[in-house]
Amino acid sequence: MTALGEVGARSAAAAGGLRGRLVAGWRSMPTGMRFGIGIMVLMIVLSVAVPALSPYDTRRGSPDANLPPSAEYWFGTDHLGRDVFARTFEAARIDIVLAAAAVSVPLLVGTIVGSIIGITRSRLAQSAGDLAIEVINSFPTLIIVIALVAAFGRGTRGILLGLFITAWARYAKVARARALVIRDMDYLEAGRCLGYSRARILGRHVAPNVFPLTLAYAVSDFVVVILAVAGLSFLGAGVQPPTPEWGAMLNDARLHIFRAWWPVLFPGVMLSITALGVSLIAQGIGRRASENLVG
Amino acid sequence: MTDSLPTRSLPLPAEAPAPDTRVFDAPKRDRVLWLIGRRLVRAILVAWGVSLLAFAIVRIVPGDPVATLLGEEATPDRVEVLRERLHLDGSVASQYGSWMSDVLRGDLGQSLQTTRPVLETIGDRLPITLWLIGLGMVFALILAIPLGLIGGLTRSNWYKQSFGLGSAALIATPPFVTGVLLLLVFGVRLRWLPVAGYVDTFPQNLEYLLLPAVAVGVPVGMIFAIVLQESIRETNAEEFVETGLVWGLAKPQFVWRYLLRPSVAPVIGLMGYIVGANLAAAVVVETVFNLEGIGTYLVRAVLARDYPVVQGTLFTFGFIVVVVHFLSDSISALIDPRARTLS
Amino acid sequence: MLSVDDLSIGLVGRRGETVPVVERARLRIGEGETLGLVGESGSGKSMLCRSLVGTLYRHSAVVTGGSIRFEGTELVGASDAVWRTVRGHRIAYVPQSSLAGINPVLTVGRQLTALVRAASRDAGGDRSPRARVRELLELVEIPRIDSVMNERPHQLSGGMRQRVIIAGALARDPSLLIADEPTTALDVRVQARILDLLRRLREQLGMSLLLVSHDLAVVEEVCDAIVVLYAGAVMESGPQALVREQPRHPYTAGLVAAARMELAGGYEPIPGEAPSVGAWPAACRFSPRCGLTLRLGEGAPHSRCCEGGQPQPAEVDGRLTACLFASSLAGEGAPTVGAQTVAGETP
Repeated sequence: MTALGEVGARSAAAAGGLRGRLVAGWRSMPTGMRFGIGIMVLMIVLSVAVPALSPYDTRRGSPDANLPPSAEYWFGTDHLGRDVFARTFEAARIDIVLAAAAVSVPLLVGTIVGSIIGITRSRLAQSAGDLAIEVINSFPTLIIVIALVAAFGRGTRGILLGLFITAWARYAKVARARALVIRDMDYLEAGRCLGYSRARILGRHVAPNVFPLTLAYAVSDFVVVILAVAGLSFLGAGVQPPTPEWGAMLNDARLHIFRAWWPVLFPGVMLSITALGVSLIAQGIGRRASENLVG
Repeated sequence: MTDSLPTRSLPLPAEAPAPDTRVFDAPKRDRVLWLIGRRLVRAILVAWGVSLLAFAIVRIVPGDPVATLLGEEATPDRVEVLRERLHLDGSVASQYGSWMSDVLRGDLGQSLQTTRPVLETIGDRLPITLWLIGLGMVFALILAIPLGLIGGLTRSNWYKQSFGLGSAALIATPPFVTGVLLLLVFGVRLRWLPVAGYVDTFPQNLEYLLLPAVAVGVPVGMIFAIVLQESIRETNAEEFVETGLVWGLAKPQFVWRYLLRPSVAPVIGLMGYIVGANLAAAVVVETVFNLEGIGTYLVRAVLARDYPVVQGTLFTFGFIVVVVHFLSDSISALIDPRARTLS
Repeated sequence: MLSVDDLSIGLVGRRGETVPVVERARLRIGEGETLGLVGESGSGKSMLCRSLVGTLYRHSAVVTGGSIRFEGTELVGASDAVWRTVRGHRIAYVPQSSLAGINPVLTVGRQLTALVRAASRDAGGDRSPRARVRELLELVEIPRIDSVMNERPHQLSGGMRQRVIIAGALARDPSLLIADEPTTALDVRVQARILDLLRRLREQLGMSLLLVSHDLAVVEEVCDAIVVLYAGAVMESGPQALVREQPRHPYTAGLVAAARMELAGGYEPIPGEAPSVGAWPAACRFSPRCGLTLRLGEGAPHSRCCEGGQPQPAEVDGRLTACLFASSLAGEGAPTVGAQTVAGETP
């Protein structure tokens, strides 16, 4: 019984002193991770503030087409006379929200499916699960999702469905490996002998142990997904114009590249800065995890 | 419910598992062959899974794909013809059977737009994509080998930090952004290189492939560099490196035989993943530079819902990745005696 | 031909500070001479060897003072270019025998051919590399040369690997060969053969030899002179037979007694443990374990041993010893370890 209660007790102890823990956590972070968090906070704040405060319409055009950056239009205007500055930061919001959605659902599904594959005693179920994971993972995200867009149709809905259907397999792979380790630990054996149902063992004991790992993986996967969302939109399969989205903006602007470089440069740079911010955070988490493993 | 405490007492600590008598106890040479054989079986299974996935693409279309393609007012004959061409007649099992037997005979169907056989078009377009990926790989290695050596041997913290940040930034920049920016700088501003197009003969095509290959190769090169420098750092800590050093080998000999050779196995093991990433990069970079490879073929087909083309290209991509995965696994098992003795 | 004076070596810590591992070491090797360097693991003997081939940097260590003169060249602070002409060319180094000591990815033949090709290019020779490799392998008494050349290191026995490493070290006719615990990981029979080989090579090729071991018995079989190292400092050095038969340092005496006991089938090590790097006593390094100082100081280390840190070696009875009470060991025929006195030690 004590072994079974351990997980709950640990999370209860961890709840106290949130503020103190945040401060201590920030201090113990590697510089790169702080830098990454800084980028993300700034990007999220700007993505909300800029479109709200900007006097320009981000979708409807104006006669001021292809104007270079100036005091009036900080990032210049695109071929339809829209303010690139406002559009770039509105795009930040759309990309970050889309990527977050495309990460969170597969995270949950993948954790559960992977845990089941990990703890099941049925060899057939395990092999079938492994094969499905390997087949899906053998494709690069962008290629398999764009193929699914052919089925679901282009647009936000299509790429989200495509990402949901494929991204779970990466989490399932991480979860499966961890669940396999947990399966052979004593307290699970104890729970099984106490006659607990499979669902209870899975929900109370396996998933909470697997989740921190898949969650950490989700941060690094966020980079892959945000680049995939932008890439798909760049190819015309994802977010459709006139909605501002980095990839779609870049695709629009590259056709007018001889006249204006600014609508190409700014969305592209913002996309890489955002991806860099997230991957710095992921690196920090990864380094801490490996240190915990060693220490 | 099931929560009520059972009357049984807690189990005794788990007994030590009985020794597994099924362990394949072959001599070392055979062991490698056996490992490769197992990977081959796995590769065939995955290739089969890839075919299932390609087959499934048309069948997960919400509603009726034929109706979606032809619209509501299509004549029954046209609907019937299309249904047959997409292998949508009969039971799902017989559909897969007829599709798969076509695929195995090399018939990937015909494009719905041009009615040209998909395999033929892929055959025409594949060389460009392979050139792009190959050159990208060459470029990645040109970047990775010196960076890996420097990073693996340096003790400068300043270098490690700045390389960490720089490589993270370059990996975070997707190939289509790199591609468009390269296009902007070298094609539009400096006018050194053509912005689009392609010539099909060998030395001339390099001019058109240079910028695309850089866009494909930079992130991959950074990943290689990170893995290689980690591996070289480990190798360099080994005693045999000191032996080579104090034997007084010539510098190039020493670097190649004592640092690089023993460190390449992890890089080759990564090849399957890398080729996948390269294919994905090729898809977008071909679009950026208007190269007529299978990447642009796939994208155009997706936007036009040309299902046989999507299925055919998806199958081709999957097949390439599976084959490369198998090869890289096998080669790294063969060349790394450490992996051989450990596994 | 090699003279090391006041050589100090430090391990470089994270913040650039150094922790001493060798302090003010002094040793001399003449033309064709064999010097034995004896010490427990952690006494700094491997670091001392690496300072002679310029590979300290690989172990995050640096020379912090003193000088190494070899054939008229100062090696402390020498440039890479100088080291490239010395390391492997004039001074060869055979590291501790282990599987890790030899490149695992290449066959023996390929490794040696590459080395020999470079060597003959440097020497302007016209011999075929393959013949030279055969000659080297014959020199180190490797049987079945043709099959060994096509094998990879993990297919060879420990003794064979060690012979291959020695063959590589001899490729450029060095004038000094450093063998750092060349027999430690090998079984006793093979140990004896490798030692025989080293002895024969020295005579045949007229090299000088620096043989490093934790085992006094290994050293006394081969060497003309010995240097005893303890916690980074030289305790005693002099002609081998003299030091062994009439030690003038309690530590040497302890080693000799322990070696004798072992020969008789017993086991009587010096009580206590060698201090680890960074935890050396401020007094004479050996004083916490020294029976002599406890006896003289009536239970506690004698006050003279605690003043002024580690004593510098001074000449007593034809050798150098770092013991302040060396002369009081003179009268005693059989060296005593001092276990009896230490047994009654108060906490």
